[in-house]
Amino acid sequence: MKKITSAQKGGGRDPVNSPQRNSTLPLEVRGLSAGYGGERSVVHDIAFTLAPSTMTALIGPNGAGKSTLLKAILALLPECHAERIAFFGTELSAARARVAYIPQRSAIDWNFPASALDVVAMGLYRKLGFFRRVGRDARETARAALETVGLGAVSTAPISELSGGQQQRVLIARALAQDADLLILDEPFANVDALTEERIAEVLRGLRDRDRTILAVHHDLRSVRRHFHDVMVLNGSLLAKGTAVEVMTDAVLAEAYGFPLERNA
Amino acid sequence: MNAFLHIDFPALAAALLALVGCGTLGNWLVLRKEAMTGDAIAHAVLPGLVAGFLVTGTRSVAAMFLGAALAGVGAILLAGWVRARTKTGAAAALGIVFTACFALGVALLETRGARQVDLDPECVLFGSLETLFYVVPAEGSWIAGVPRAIWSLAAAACVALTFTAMFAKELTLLSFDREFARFSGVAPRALERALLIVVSACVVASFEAVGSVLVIAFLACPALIAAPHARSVRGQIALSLAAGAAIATGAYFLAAFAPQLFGARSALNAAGMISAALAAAVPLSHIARSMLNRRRA
Amino acid sequence: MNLGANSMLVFAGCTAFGALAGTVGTFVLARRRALVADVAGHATLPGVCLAFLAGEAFGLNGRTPWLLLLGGASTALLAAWSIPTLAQLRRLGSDGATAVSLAFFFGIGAVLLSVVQLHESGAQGGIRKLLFGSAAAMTSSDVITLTTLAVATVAVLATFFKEFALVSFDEPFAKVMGVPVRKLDLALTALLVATVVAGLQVAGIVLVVALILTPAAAARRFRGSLTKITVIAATIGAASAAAGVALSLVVDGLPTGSAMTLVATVFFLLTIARRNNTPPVQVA
Repeated sequence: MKKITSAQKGGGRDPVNSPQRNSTLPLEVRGLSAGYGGERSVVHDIAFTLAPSTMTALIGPNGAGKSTLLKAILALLPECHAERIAFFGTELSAARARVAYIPQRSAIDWNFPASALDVVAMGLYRKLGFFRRVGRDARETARAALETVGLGAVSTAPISELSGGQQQRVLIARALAQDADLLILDEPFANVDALTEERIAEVLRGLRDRDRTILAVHHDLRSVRRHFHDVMVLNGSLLAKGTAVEVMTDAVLAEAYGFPLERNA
Repeated sequence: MNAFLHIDFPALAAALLALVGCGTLGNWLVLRKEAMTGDAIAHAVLPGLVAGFLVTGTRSVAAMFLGAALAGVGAILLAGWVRARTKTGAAAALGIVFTACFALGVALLETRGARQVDLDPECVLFGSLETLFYVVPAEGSWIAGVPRAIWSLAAAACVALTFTAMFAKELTLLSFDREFARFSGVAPRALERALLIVVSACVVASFEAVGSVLVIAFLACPALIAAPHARSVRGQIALSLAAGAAIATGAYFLAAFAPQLFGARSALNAAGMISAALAAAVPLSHIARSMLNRRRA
Repeated sequence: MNLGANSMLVFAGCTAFGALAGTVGTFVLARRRALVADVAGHATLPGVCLAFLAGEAFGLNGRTPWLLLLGGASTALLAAWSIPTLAQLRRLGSDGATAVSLAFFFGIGAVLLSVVQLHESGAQGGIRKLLFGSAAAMTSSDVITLTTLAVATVAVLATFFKEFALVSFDEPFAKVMGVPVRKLDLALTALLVATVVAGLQVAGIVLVVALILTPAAAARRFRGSLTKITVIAATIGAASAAAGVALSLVVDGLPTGSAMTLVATVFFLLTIARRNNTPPVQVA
């Protein structure tokens, strides 16, 4: 296990050996502090990198600033200072097509009048550009993305009639349709049953095996090691980063959560 | 029949055109959970309208439009600033800013412009559908007799429909998942501003004929009536316009002709009647939906 | 300047109302009922018109102040009750419920106002004055009604101050402590409606909400205990109302409601301009 002291290079894997879809680091963050306009920042002095084709969990207690960190990285917060935030070696504006953000399921109004296919097609809006409607090609791409997450059968169903796990998979399918190389997810396993959690994890693992990089906020400490290879522990600042086996030790968790945890993973 | 053509038809046409403009845009506000933003804009455009007149000194449509659209957008931005600055809730910030705007508008009207602008504060609230007449011109084409308000309402309706059709995709994403829209760069901030500008323009155009009471109702109620039944945004917009038009027409005739059944000479305020009918239809529509769901289950 | 014999009385009445509005507004804001106040103001219109028509029908003078206020209060209460009730409908939400309630009650009000205007008696002029407020048209009996309402409302608020404070600023805690949250909410709604009808003659149906919200929002920029903030809100409210009345008497044609709202807004902008980084009161 490595403690984070300063800007640190490399993730859990050697980038050189991974397949060539991403030759540069998908995400590199250095010296990031962010908050909501109050006098003190919620997260401070964050530095980390994600290697290609990795699957990393961001864990930490409530109020540790996990969602804040994601939003800060994605430039969705008004108050954010960083020495460097680079996506695939460049700025976000130049890499938007390669990055997908999957918000918390609860942040979305699921009574919105749209079908699962409509939502997935939203991932293609950027590619379509202004003034072009969603045509047959786009619909086919969206349908294929829904098939990949195992929802081909419900593509025309209103999103209000989907289960929580299905809704989460629709959002992942939207990122797939976008054909993003880096997926940033906020609590993909929140409020779904164990079976659904396994299916979502399977979808994510499948994506990683096809050379996508995944960063997900996660809160269930018991399942971290099962789902994720790499882990970052956050509580205001980044306390540790490494493989799940290295990081999930009593010492680190006690520092982050303030108490030692039962280890039944 | 003649009376219908000259008195009722222009008024009904004005109401329906306002419905098309405000009702279409109202769908975006409702999808964004901002039904009360319509209320705020409806109040906030008043000072811009009056100031546009006072500055140019003419009743030029362009000046009043520009003034009012600026005021509408300005008020919403100001409310956002107040909210960020004071940490009062969004609703309170909106309430403070739009009452201030409205007070300014009424003050300007009553002290400076009332007679010149030919807008009485009461008609700002309740509209003047009753004063729209179609008079066949003595010479020239029949078109010359069409009231001016009809033209501006028709123009506003066209603008609303065109804007909605052009940016349907982006507005949908913006309403469904604002952060994703922002992040992916699909719906830039400029589009949100543009929506406010178009709403303000529609409000101004509708204001004079139908009054703020009906503008508020048109912006919120048709979309809320359609919401529980729609399966797509396009379907919701179409349903909201169809249901809104049917209810508005029925309510108009109720206001115009019901008093005659009791022997009264005068009609009731049509804008108020349409507004109340549309509002009453919203809970009925929602209850109907849940009854249908229960039967299906 | 049109200073009649009872002008001092009018000034006193309006100042009392301003203080009342600021006091009640502090709790309305804390309880996030800002737009309920807006709807309640607009929703007095149908009640006032109904009361007028009923009064005429029964041979009373349609302008009897207490009758109009009673009518206005009843429909305003109905509207305030309708918002949480409508908001329970799935998909409507509190935002939609507020808009629907406003459109319904104000629409009915517009219809009834057109009925009132059919009456040949000059009395409907009194109702038109209620739209934007007209302190100059106040009679001493208006002032007495208003002052009674103001005193009664402040007395209720003062008696249950700490309960209201608890519910407004920390509802879950209050519930656990066994404070009757629902009853206090009802009471707060009743106080809000009483304030709204008290302000009809002074500030008018459309702008009475501004006198409730704006001074209270200005006061929240100051630091200190809830008592202190309430007192500041009441002071700003009273000052806005008094200055508004004076302005409307000086400037020909300026409605009192507009004048008061603009003065209160100036106070509000001044407090915003004052740099203040920390939130004054922690609101859950």
